[in-house]
Amino acid sequence: MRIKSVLMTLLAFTVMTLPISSAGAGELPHWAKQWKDWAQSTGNSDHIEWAEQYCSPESIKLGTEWEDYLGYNAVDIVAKDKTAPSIKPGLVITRENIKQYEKELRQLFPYGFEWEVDRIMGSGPFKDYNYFPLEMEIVPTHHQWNDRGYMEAAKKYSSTCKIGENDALVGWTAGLPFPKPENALQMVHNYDRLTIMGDNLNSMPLQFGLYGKDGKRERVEKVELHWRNYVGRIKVPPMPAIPGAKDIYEKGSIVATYPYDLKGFTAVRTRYADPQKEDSFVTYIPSMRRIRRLAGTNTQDPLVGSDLSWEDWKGFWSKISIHPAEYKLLGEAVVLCPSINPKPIKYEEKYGGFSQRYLWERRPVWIVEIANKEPTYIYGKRVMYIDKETFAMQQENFYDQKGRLWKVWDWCWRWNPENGELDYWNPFLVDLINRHATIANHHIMLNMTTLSENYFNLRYLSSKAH
Amino acid sequence: MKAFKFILKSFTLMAAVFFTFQSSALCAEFELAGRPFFINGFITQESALGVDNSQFSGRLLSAYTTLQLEWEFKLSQSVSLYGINRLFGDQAYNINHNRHWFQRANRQNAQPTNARENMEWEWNTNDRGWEVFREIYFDIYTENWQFRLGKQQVIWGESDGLRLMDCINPQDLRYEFNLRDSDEGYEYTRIPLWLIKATYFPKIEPFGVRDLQVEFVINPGKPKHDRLELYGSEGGVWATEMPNLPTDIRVNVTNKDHKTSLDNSEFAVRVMGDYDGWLFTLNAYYGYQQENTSILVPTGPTPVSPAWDGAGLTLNFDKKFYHKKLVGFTLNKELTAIRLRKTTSPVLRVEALYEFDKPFCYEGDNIGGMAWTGLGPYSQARKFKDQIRMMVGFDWQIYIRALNKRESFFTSAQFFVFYIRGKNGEYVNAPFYFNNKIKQGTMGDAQTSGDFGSYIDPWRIHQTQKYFSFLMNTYYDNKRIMPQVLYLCDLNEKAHGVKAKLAFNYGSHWRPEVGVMMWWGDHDTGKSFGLFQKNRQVYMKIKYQF
Repeated sequence: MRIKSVLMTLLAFTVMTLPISSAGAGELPHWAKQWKDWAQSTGNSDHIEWAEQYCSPESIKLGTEWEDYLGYNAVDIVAKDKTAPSIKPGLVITRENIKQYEKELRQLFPYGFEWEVDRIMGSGPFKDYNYFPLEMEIVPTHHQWNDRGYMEAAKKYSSTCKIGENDALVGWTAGLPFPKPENALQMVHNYDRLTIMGDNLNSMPLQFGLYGKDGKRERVEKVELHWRNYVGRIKVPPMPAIPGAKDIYEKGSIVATYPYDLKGFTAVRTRYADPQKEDSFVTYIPSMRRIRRLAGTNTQDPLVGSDLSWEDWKGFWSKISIHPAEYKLLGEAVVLCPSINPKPIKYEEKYGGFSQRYLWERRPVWIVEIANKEPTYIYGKRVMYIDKETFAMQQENFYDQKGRLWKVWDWCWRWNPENGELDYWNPFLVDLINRHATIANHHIMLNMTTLSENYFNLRYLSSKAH
Repeated sequence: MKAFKFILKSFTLMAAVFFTFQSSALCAEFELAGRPFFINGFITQESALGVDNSQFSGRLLSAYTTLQLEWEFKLSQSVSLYGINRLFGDQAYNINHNRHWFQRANRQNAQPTNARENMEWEWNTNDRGWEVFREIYFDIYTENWQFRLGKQQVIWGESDGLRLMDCINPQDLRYEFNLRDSDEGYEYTRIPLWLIKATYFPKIEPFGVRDLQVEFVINPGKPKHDRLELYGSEGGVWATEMPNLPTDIRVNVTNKDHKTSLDNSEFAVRVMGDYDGWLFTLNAYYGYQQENTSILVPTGPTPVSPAWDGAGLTLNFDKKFYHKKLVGFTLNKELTAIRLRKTTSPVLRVEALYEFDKPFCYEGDNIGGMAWTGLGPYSQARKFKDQIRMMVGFDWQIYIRALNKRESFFTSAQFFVFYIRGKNGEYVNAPFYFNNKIKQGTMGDAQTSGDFGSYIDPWRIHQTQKYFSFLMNTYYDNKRIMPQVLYLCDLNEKAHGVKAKLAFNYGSHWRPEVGVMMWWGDHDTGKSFGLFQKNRQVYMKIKYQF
């Protein structure tokens, strides 16, 4: 009997410590090992270097915690999906070989995202003009995760979150409000509350490349961007809110640095926590040399000369309670998405256009449709892929009020698996009706301890005023 | 010759800098003595042709050339030196120099003209050399203070088109009056001053006021006034027209500029903050009048001998700039309770000031008294009264999807009211006093005709003056095409001004623009905006920025 007890205790101890001991002993979880093995098989030093970081003890520890919290990982979900078997890691899809894979590729872009294939082929909406040919380098699926802070805050606070009047989020303090979302609206709130994927952000600079219908860059506009969360803080003290500013969700500021006629334009945008309160938008207008308030309600005009409006900021920045919409979960699927790209995107003059090449992988996503109820709203509906692991948006289609596909958007992620910090890399937005494109080139830093209120107030505007 | 050489050298230097950077437009920053140095700027050529007017129709009214460099030298994290170098000139003075119509436009009987000397290049006896360094100042930042020391512009207020609280820097109105850049904020027409500006950020939130700051401005003894030349003496085609006068009378006005002296210092203070979305300022200013409608002080008539042009008498005036003392406030807030078709809300802008003892040219109890001339029975040629000036404006970005699917139309309407407290008698904008009929006779003829009143139609200053402005613009083709219209109206004088333009923003460097400027007045000599009816024009502008 005593022997039996000892054996049972030993067995239980072994089971409990298995994940830790196996990782600690160099035995990687299968989701990490499959990536590392593949990287080594390619002999590609970039992939091998990335795999080392992805499989570091810190990464494995954090990835395992997230897997345990969510109860699934993307690698396992994708492994069960047998769609398009020819599209596998190591394959590079170019204009030369696309014909061979076209049919299967289209299966991996359901719900209207086939334009990614058309980009490569120069067909469909890209038939008559050549926006950005694409080369896709397929890599294995990652198990991805977010910052630990989002998980810990979700564990602590998500139980109080619910949907209130006018679809507003109620009872939120920090982290993911709905870590196990049950409907499309909750998925959208999750992404909304990830804000800029951290507590604060700098992009110095954020460069907008603006491209005409011939695919040639016709303008460049540069701004310095700062962003800061005032509540829902998960990493940089004070947490979870900055004292005295609980009525403010977040503030962003930009100062334009190029070209000359934009230079010096500075703006501070404040998003309030009150579901019915509109944003404040105070600017310094250099030609007037004045601090002027502009309409915070004007969120639908394009920013500078780009194809991006405040509504599109980071893919979705609508104030849900102000713009009524119907949120519908169209389905769940394994789709092809831009992968983690540790290195900058490659651009080259190719195929008669400005060709991009980056890494793609299969991802499990929710497909969410947001059909706006306001006939005067800029969009009739949006459809987006929302990642089931990071809760972040992957790709998005915008339709006008007539139902025409108007804008399409994708971006890659840059990611530090050791702390879970994700940031936007190469946002790419095309206006298919007006034949114009914007590529935002970020230089992002996240979660700095030095980004103070002085970047988000009238003093900041005054300091930029000449 | 000396001036010419200086300009030539300056231009060569600027051109060298321009061509150095224009080829690497994205790299206008480099290190100088191990410190960051940023530079950019533009070169512009503009031309305007007179239209719809028998006097200047089809004439080349102006040919402005501008080369501007804007730079900043970061001496440390908390200290930087900022400057704007500008070369500006109106080449119409060179091109039209020998043309009869242009000479007539620049000539005034009583005085010789220096218009070409002063206007061909921005290079005049008042500002010799310093316009090349249009602005230059140090910025110094500390934990709670920001200091700006040097030649600079300080801009107050919320109004566009008419300046109320924007009273610190005077304005150069010799080129296109207030339509030159009133739609762009007076950036190019404000006259920079040598000022000390200190802004204090107390980092407290009394009564829930956020972002509180207090700004102190001192002009240590070199005040200036607006530049708008009178009747052809200096200002060329943009000078105000000669007032209607009897054939035997001339008017001679002498500016009484202030000497540079600490006794002539000007002071200003402004508090700014945000209370629950109300962005407000409280302002106070103690300085000098700058407006060109400032007071004519009669210094006595002098006979002209011989009366070679038929005028036997010159009425002499000093144009005097008295003290200006005012307090005021500005407010703005987005009125989110008002939504147009559930899209955007208007932004309310309010600006109001109370000016103490503002001087006015006094006419007498009734029109016809002519007290301001010093010739009549009145002992006072001027009155000092308090005046309230206020503006209420709305900026509203409106979507008209049928006309523009992607972008809103920015609309801005402003209503201005000026009110003189305790006004007694008649005040006038002298010397715009007689109608055209007076030109056909002498003062004696008019006075003995028994119908003297029929010769008089002064530009009155009403107890309540009302103005209206409206600006609208939008963008097409990813902000590459911008149509814009600005409309100004003097409701008392039924005078109007319109500036309509089409600006093109293709690429990062070239910025062409075409437009039209029109004025309408209600009087044959012009009152209010009607003074510039003669200058109706179409213009073209091409800018290369880098």
